Amino acid sequence: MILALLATVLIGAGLIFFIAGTLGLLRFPDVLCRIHALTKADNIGLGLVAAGLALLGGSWAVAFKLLLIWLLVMAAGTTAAQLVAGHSQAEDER
Amino acid sequence: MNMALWFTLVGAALAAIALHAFFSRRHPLRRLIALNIMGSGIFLVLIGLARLYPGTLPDPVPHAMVLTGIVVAVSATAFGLVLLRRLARLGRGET
Amino acid sequence: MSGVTLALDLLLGLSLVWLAWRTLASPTLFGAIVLFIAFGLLMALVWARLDAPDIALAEAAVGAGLTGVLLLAALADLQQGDNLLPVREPLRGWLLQLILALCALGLFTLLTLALLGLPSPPPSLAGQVLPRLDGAGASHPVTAVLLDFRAWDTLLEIAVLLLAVVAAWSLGSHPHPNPRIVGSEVLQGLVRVLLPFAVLSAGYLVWRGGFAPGGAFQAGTVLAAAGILLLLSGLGRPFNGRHWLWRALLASGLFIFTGVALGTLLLGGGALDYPAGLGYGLILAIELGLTLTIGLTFIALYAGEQDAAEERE
Repeated sequence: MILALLATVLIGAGLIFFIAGTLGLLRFPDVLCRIHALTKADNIGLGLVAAGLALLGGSWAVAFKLLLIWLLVMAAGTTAAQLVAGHSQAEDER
Repeated sequence: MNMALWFTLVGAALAAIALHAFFSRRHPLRRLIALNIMGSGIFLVLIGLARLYPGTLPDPVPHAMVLTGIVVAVSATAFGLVLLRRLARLGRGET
Repeated sequence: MSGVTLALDLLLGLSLVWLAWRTLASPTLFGAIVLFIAFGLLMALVWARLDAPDIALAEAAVGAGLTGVLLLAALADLQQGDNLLPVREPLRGWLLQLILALCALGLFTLLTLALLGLPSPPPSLAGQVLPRLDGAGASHPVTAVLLDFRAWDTLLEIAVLLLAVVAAWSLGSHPHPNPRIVGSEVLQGLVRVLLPFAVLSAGYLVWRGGFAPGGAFQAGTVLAAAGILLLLSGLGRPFNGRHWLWRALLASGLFIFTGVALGTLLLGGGALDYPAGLGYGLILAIELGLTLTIGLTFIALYAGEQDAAEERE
């Protein structure tokens, strides 16, 4: 019961980060600001959701897989953000 | 309403929208995308049908068909893109 | 169906239709492709909702990944120099527009009527597949249909994939996709970390396909995505389809599949009628070949054929 409550709180907190990130993506003025908003959703938001799901998963194996997914998404997201930012900088300089 | 039925109707709507776009849009790349969306709509109808009756296991045969269908669709798309690039090169006077 | 999942399903279905509409109406080609990638991701979610994990896995790799990369690479190529692609005049005249709209509406109406008029319970082959799973070479129903009951279809499908590569190659070489991200050190670092994981998960998916959602199709697309990332990062050498080793690997799925078909024919059973007890091993061997063929097919279709002359320089 306490576990489920804790999981709900974690997932809810993660979703708030996702909503904030989406708002930033839609409302911020330029590419770099938007990436800044998005990475918050990806990293912390997904981390919180994954932590909540790991509590609900009920086994260490599930928790480990979720941790792995979170780490992989962070690595991929960071790289994608860097590539988009680099691309927009190259566009500006031309 | 039954959830699978809802998604089969969504699939039918996707197929209809994409059919319209396939004939009204003129850029070949857009037509390829329309064809892909039409494919997704049809796949959605098939898989929705496979589990239309709640409480039974989904029918695995449409699942297998759609799985091969997705892979064939992407290879056909890739071939279509190669054709397009060839056409564009011919238009630029290259060989 | 509880209220929350009902709301989720309604939202998913409506966003799917809305995204398709935005994709097809997008003013720019680049926007259309990006929206189409998002459409693929939503499709994967819908497959998961419809209890089709096999298809969700394939869609996440194909619809959201592979098709997007192929479209973007082609767009970059098409927008080089003057775009002289023959684009026909847009449809003129209200009568044509009306007929077209009626056709689309007619398709939707007829499909809907056909769906609503289905008998209850609707026809299903599950009743024939599920009792026979004990004697099949795979206990996962979808894999059993693909590689045992309907193995012929899958054999021919692999031939179709190879045909696509041969047809693409016969159109001559197209320039190797060379976007500006080639050489990015961050991307190279990611690829170095990701590549072993991708190969590992491809192997895992093949093995898992025997008894749970997974199999050669999903594994092959994961492998293809890994190969394309390797090419994009500039770490791998340009793919040279002319090399005999690549060609042999590309055709390995078809070779193994036809070999098994001939072998079972010679043993006296029907073609692809696996002898009792050998089904699991044979299916695993075929699936490993299929994974290689599917993976390399998409890499070959993405990379195009390097010019033999270019290669020598």
